[in-house]
Amino acid sequence: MEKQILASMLGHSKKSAGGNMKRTKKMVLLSILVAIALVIYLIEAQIPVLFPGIKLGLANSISLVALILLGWKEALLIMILRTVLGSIFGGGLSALMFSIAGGLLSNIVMILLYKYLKNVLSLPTISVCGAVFHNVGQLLVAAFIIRDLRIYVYLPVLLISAIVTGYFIGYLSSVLKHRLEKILTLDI
Amino acid sequence: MNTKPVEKETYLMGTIVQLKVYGGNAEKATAKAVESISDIENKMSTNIETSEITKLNEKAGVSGQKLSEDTYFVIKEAVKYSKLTEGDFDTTIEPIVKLWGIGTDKERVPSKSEIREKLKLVNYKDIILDSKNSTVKLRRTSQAIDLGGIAKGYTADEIKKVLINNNIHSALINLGGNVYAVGKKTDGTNWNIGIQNPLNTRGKYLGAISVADKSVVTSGNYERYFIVDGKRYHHIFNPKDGYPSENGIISTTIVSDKSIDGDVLSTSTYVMGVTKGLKLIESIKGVEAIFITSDKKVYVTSGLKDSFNLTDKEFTNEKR
Amino acid sequence: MKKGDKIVGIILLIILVISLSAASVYKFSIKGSKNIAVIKRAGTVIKTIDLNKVVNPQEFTFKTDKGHYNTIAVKHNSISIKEADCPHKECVKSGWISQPGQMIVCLPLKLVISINGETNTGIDAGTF
Repeated sequence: MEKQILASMLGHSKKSAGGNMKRTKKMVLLSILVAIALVIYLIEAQIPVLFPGIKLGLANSISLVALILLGWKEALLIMILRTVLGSIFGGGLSALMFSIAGGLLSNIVMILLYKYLKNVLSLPTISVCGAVFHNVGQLLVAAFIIRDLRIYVYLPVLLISAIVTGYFIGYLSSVLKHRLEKILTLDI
Repeated sequence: MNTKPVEKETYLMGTIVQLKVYGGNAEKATAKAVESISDIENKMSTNIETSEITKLNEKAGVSGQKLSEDTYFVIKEAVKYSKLTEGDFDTTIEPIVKLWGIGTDKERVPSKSEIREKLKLVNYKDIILDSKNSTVKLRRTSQAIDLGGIAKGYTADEIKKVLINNNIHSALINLGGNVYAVGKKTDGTNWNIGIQNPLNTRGKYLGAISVADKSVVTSGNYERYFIVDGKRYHHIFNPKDGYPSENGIISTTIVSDKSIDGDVLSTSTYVMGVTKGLKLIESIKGVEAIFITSDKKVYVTSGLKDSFNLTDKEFTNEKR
Repeated sequence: MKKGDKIVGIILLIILVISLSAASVYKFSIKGSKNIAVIKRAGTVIKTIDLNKVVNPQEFTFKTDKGHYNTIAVKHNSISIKEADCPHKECVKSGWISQPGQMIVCLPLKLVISINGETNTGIDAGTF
């Protein structure tokens, strides 16, 4: 179903041909998604959080959207690109570590959950799990930097923020998905 | 009773002065105490051109200098202790102090001959006291008095007097590490005074003593020093040879009723060494001591054994 | 709502409750050992830093009105003076401090860094 959404977004019917055009358009779509993710990342970097480097993880929402529309490879690619580009814009080594750890863990969890349990779990739930693991990843990096596991004192606060942002993003993603599905069925 | 103290931190006498004063009149008492510190500094500092000591030193070998009661008293006490310690404490050490220049940007290791020359000027017997006229004269030119090893102690005693006169019964006076614990704490318990670990950073204590209304003064080789070719040269000179005292002791702490005694004795016993120092302290009533040596041994006089608590396992209590 | 959602929801709730209680117990037990560094110039507080909350090492410089300076470095639970233009650099030689009661002093520039918090040893003042 999702591949059909993509196909229609790319302006082709289910039986389309023309590989080059599709690939270019796919790249364009990827780039746009990376750009959006980057912008979200840079904006959320301005939000004051517990300590420098830790982020809310809103940019991972784009990865979720990409996961649904394009597939897991693309989702990971977007996350990596967004992280690398984001660190070029500033933040330093530790911000990079936080982003990678959070992004990787979050994406892997969402990919696995989506692949195996998408019929049992709704999108908001998958997104919440992604957000939770995003924060777990960041806390792991922080614990490593300061060599003190007691940083996990911040887990409750981060869990709550993950649940809230995760649900919010997941809800948006599912709305997006439904709208696109509607457009698709109308189209046909 | 108001248990929140008036806390004042200021810079005087070349060091941090911290006062913690409890009681209804604390505000006023503290202000007066600070005034008295400035007053004493202006009279006794060798770094202030208009001080009585500077004038006295300038007239060395020529004439005497009339002094205020405070300054005369302090010099008199200094001479008394010089006699008691047979010259191991000598307040005419100033030419040697100036020669080495520790604490200034001119600090250096002087040559043997330079030291020998200046050492000739060090002799407390050349201090001529005229109590009738409150005047002191130094017999020979170029001699000079340095009240560095006694002034802080005197100041602490004066602060205590000011506080008592202003109805204060509980206070902590800390003049750059020269402590006077006035009275007891407001809850009736003794003060816990930490003894600086001479081998660690400031604020790291190797033990503590529980005291009420006592002065606690420490002299150590870590307070002021410079290092040349890996060797440390500290500021406690042996008046007999003009070099920083090296006899194994790295810190001395004196507990007494008068801080002036504590200040002088901590400096003197540092130079005297463990055996002679312990003997002297045991012979003075009301004064106790803690000596720490470079091999991490701690020597405590008999009167302090119950109130001194050694907490740093790296150091061992020496039983004699 | 799919059936897996409820299960995940309950699991998350359990984790949240456990981590909250663990965090509360911990915060209660360390009530005495907060590591707050207080930086004073001539007796006046110019900065306080909760050293517990420092994750990334940072540095900042304080200048006096005569143009002298101290550069302070902080990392998790520790603080030190990295550079200073005082003649003897005693403050720089002092290295890092990390426990309540410890102090770094730059006398010429009248800068004092101390760490507040309950000293478990209950010491009221110390000699130096």
